[in-house]
Amino acid sequence: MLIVTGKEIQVLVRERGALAVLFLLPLLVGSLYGTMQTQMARDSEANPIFLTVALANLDAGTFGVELSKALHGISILEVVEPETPEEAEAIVAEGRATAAIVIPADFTAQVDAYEPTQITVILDPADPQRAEIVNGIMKAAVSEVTIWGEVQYGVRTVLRDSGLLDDADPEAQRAAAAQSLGVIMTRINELRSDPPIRVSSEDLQGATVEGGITVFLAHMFPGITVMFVFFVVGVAGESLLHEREVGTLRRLLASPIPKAAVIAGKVLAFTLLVCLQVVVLFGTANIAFRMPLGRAPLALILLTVILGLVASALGMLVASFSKSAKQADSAGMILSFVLAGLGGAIAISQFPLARSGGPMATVAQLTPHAHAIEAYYRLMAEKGTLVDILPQLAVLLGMALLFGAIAARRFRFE
Amino acid sequence: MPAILEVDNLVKKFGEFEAVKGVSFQVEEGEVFGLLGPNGAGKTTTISMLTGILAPTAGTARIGGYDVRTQMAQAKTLNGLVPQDLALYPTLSARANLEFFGRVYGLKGRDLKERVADVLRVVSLTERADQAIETFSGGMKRRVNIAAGLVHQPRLLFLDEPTVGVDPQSRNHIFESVLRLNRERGMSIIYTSHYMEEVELLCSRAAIIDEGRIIALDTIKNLIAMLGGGVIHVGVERADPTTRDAIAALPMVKEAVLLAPSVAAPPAPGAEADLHERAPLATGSVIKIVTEHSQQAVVSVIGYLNTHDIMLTSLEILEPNLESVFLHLTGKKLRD
Repeated sequence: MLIVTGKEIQVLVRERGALAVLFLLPLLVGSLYGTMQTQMARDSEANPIFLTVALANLDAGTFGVELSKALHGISILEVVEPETPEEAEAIVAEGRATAAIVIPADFTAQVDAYEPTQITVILDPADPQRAEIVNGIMKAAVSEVTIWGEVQYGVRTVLRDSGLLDDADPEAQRAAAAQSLGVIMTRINELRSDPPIRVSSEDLQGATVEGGITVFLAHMFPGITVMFVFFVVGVAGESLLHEREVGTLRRLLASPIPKAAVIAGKVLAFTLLVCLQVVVLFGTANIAFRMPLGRAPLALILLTVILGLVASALGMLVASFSKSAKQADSAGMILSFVLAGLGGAIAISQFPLARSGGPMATVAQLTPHAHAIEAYYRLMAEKGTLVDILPQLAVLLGMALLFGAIAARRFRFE
Repeated sequence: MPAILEVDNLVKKFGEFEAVKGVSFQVEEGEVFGLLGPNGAGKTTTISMLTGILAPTAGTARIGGYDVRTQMAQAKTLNGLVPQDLALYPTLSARANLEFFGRVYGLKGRDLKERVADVLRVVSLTERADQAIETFSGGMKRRVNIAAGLVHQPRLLFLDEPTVGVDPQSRNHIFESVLRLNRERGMSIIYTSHYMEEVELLCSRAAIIDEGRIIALDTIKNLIAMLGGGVIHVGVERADPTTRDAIAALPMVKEAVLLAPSVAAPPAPGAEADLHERAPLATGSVIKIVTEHSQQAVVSVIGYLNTHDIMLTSLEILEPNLESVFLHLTGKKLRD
């Protein structure tokens, strides 16, 4: 078998046209697509959304000041502070700000008294999306003040109802309340910075999930790679039928090596070719675009080898249904495009097509592409391990065996 | 001499079609044996069964004592096959091709290198050994094709139509190589061809195969002797059994057979044929006459026809060779 594999590799390295399709074309497509996506991501980082708000703070008290500080501290907000609510409203009307925020003069007093109060947000109706963002920011900022108010009210109520400070003078009572409030808020802030209950983006194994462009690249490059890996189908099918046409297969059948070794030798050669394809494409993507390779190299290798087996076996299957080498080549090329389309090899979102749900996802599951892309995604984007991709490996191996078995039954050596 | 190959009633069917219908023959060690027949006669199918490419439907064969039905793996180590097609990898060099075919027979290391160098010498291609096959002429490719069948030093070499599409110079080179292999190395060779002159030149014995059956098997000399001094095809306006018998009794005539006109039909319009291959241009009856001496028999026959007022419409003298033997046996030409 290895003798046939060695010969096949010798023949393959001289097939410049096929090598260009299998290596150069995916490198070109991947590089262009990757560059485009990376550039778009950089543009997005360099030019974040920037909103201007006009803040009219009429309250000189603690909560008014704190709220103003909080708004100034939000990176995407540019805060201008006119003197009056009317001026703030005028700025919005002139389109110089997305929203006007008016903090009433009695804001701190009302919060202290645990009485209802209101912050007015005047939004620009011409820019509803940005206005909605400001609205969301204000709700978050106000909720912070509300917590302070609630805690303060609670402290005072407890001190009053307990009667512990009944005999103290008002100054001492205020000092005790302030001290209690300070202690509680300090603890709350500590809990925020080191919360007992964490919400973090982690997978089942505890690995941090990559985000943004990194995840997209870990979907995009494997997708393109898997698509071009299956171009091997036409090359492998053509190779087998060409041997039958020129008579070398006949000569091999007359030699002591068994028929199965002839086919297995070819399958192994094309599997190695696929492995080389993946190494070149993933290597380039990793070096040039920082595509993550995950943390399970052995699983990555195993997946790639099985992917190669599926593609090569499919090539043998195509050969078994084709009448000539030329027909096998054409059929393999068409099949690889169709399967790539159905299997979601061209990435258009962060996640593999098979995860999207719906009929397209169901159809995708019928292709080896979808399973291979899902497995690569789990390993590279989600830092999964071999255990995480066992279902995909099983499906791919099953497909390889099925294709191989049908090809072996159908193929005519003579 | 012991037999390297014993073929016993070998049959091959493809569905309902019986391509080989019970072929039996033996090839002795060191013999060059010819398998002569037209295209589609069953020569390649027979060879395919003997080399393990096809499984026989019935019958058996033994190569060096190994039964091809039960011990094909061992039998294959004794065989070498030079297929009709140029069964080579055109982008690889001659040396790479030969090394690969040597490896599939278990050769390796220095042994492999030496064997490859040796067969390159045999086919006179040492100088071009490292050039890709696709840069070779048709004749050179044929020679590498033969070398690939020799690299593992088989005891029995099957040469299946090795000169198809080869220029005369390369053809002569192939003949020399075949004879040298046989004489100097004692290699047994089965040579299939539809070129009777090749079989006459190279083989000591031959089987003539037609429609899946062996219709004659003997030494070349004996096969040709079947025709005596040659065969004459005489076209006449009319002929009957009485005329046939009278001709058969003439001096220098061994046998006379009345042929149906269709058997000796003229060649298709535009078809090329030399004098020896062309059938009599007759639309009436044709009498095939096996002679002891063709020229003297012609004189007798023409004299008889004149005497009996029978008009001669065509006359063809077939020199005694395997082509004539085939025509004599089947009524067909080898290259039909």
